[in-house]
Amino acid sequence: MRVLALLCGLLIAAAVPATGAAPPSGAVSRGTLPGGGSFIVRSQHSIPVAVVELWFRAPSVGFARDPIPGLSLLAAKAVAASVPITGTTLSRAVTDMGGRLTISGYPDSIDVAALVPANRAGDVVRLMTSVYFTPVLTAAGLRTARAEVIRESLIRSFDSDEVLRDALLEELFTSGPAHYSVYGKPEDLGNVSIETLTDFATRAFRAKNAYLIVTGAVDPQVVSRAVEGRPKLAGDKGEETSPNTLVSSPADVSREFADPAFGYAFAGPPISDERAATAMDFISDYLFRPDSGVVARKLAAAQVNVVGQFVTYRNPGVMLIQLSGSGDLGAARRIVDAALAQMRKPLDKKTFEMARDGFIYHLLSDLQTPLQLADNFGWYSVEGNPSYAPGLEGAGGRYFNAAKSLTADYVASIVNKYLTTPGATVTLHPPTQSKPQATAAP
Amino acid sequence: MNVRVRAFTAAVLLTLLPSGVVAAQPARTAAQGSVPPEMRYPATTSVDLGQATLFMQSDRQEPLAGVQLFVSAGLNRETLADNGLAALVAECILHTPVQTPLGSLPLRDAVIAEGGSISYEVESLYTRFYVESQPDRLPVLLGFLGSALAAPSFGSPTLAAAKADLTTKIEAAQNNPVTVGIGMFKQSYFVGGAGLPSLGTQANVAGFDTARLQEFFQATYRRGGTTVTAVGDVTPQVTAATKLLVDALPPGTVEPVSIQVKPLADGTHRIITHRDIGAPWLVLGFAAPSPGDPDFGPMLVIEALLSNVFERSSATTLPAIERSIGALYLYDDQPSSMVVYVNGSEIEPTTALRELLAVVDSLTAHPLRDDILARYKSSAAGAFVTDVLSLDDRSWSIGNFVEQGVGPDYPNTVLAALASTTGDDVMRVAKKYLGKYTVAIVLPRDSGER
Repeated sequence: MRVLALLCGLLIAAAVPATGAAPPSGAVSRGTLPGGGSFIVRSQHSIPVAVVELWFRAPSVGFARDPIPGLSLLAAKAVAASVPITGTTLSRAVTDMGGRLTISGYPDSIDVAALVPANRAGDVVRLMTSVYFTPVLTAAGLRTARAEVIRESLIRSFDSDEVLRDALLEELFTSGPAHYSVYGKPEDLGNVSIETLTDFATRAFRAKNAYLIVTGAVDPQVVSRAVEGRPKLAGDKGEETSPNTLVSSPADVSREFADPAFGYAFAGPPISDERAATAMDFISDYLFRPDSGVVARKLAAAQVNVVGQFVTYRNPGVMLIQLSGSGDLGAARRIVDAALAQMRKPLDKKTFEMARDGFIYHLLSDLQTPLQLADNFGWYSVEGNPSYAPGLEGAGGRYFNAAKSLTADYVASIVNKYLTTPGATVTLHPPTQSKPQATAAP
Repeated sequence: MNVRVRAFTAAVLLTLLPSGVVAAQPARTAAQGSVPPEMRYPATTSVDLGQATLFMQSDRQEPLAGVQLFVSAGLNRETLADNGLAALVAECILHTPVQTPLGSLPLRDAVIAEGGSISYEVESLYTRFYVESQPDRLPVLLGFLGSALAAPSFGSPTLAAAKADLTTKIEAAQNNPVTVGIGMFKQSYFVGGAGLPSLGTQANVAGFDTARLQEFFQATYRRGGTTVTAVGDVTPQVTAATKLLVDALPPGTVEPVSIQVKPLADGTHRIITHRDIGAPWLVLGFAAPSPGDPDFGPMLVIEALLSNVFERSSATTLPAIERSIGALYLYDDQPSSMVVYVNGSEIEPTTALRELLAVVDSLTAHPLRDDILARYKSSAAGAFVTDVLSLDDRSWSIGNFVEQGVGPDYPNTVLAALASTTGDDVMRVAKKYLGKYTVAIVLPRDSGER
């Protein structure tokens, strides 16, 4: 209660112009928020919409205290569902604008995203920063958020792809945020007190810890609507998150689940190794992109879903390859293994150049809306390398330069370096099935 | 469950009913406003392609371009017996071999190999093909599509591959209860093919032969009156390529088909089906004004109100499938319609139906209070603009409004119409359209019909 009263007293929504210089319309504007975080604004005037996102580096298990998986997502949702002194919850305000508010949790970050009509972008910047930089949590907001997170957690618990993903990360890392589920367990979340949550929200959702991203039909000056938030405390160096610790020797585990599934997790390059990280993206695109990936097409008629994705975490990145469905997962695994083995040798020049062109198109196609751009800018910011974010300079910039610099030899060298031995192998099998379905090739 | 519904619906009704003072105010004072400049869409440029027209919104800052071709091969050209023909013809076109630097490849593979994408959709008025890539490659890809349109392959093995892919898509569409309910309503509402399932039925698709597909193609794929749209970085080379694309179609025009609808009853017409779902869903289908009708703006406000007024408090905006009650204004069809769905896993359906009709009664009895009107006008405008984001959707939206005869820049007209909508307008339109409806009921497969 004392914390809540303090927060109410600190809700000073003073509009302070951002310190970054305003670039011309249509360009990218970057700078520092008055409260210490950073911002990126990218104008795109072809449709009258805007996206406002606040990203926080806020691990799913808290800041190295007793881990409560799901705490970060619960806190972010509780803030959005609590009625602030402005009288309307953030979620209601955005919905009333005809917009959409989503909150996504990742192992070490939170993304609060609002897609709104362009004329409301400034209002949302102000409201979102007010609500998060000086979080006020209410019991009703906590109830709403808890119900929502538990519901999502339950829905995910029936999805073999989600369960497998959590299991792969849990096995690949022995500790750190990625070791734990972003959603947590219902029984744990049911016991979180409002005091615990408020303490976490106060530490996590500070301006200093924030990345404000605005895209769409907006003027760069829109960031001047951001509030400063709570005053900085003397000696405040920010919160440090625990590192993800890799498993010391490869893990190969089998777990019971209603539906069969199989997956690999490989530790990859850190986000700072831009060319290597881009090569990993290329590999996942070439092999696993739905409709066009080599493996995806081989499995199209096999009643097997394949997901292959390189996740550009700060350090290390992770390549996840997941198989699920009612088809022959053993055969599918052999197709994956063969494809990875093939990639250890350089592709022929023509095949490689076509694949690289396709990769660049796919990236651009996945970055065509303000929402897709904002999501990317936020992710690369929170993972520590915003200048590497694809789309920051259209089809140019560091990411696309790295993509264009890829060669068949280099890609093969990255496969040999990172994709020969999985750090974790997980098989999900139905309880009645004594032997895992997905067996490796002899 | 019933208590919760009653409690929040009672609150809803209180907010919808006007106070005496507000109700006595002149009608045109209610929450009027103009459209701010940042809420305007860029103007569309049109280019005469001979017998067709290209409508484009070019933005040189975009790294990609997308082109959409609309041909008069819509569901309105089908009958119940040949439902699925339009989709199978389009699917065959995507499988038609075309010559590429790599040799002969099916069109879809050729486009992917050259660094682009291609897709199609069948709608009530047209079939549309969408091609997207970086602008320097797009002319080549449009050339591939032109080759396939000039000489489509409907024989085996193209036909077999097309049937397999289409059958998979039909299966995937079968287990969404809202889609199923909307399909049931549309099928009962439209006379002829316009309300039929866009992809057809598996039984029909299995039976179509080469001759039938050729016949349908010859009758509906004509260059005369074709609409082409382009968005993104539309270079002069892309513009020139759209002319070649249209010229690849057979000459001539397609005679227009008038789409008729059946009169709706006052809720007594009910259609029931069963699917592999966990809870029952209701879908109420209403007639609705088509784009271009002066009632279009007020109907968007009604859609926004019915989509949001029942919603429980949440931390985020609930996706449609998780809402207890939602509304969808189907204005890409002409004549248009609106459906309101009830999610039986969130709310007891019979009670929800009763409370929904109470809200409808309120809407038809009184003009909305000014603050409520302003809220839902804002919500309607926001939902209208945030619904269309991708290059594919943007090029579709322009072409769809052209095909409906209201012009490529109609979205700006819509936003202006919304800004000037009054409480009396909403009440009048509610009275006109919400009194008669059909109820489609989608039940879990193992439940009895009650």
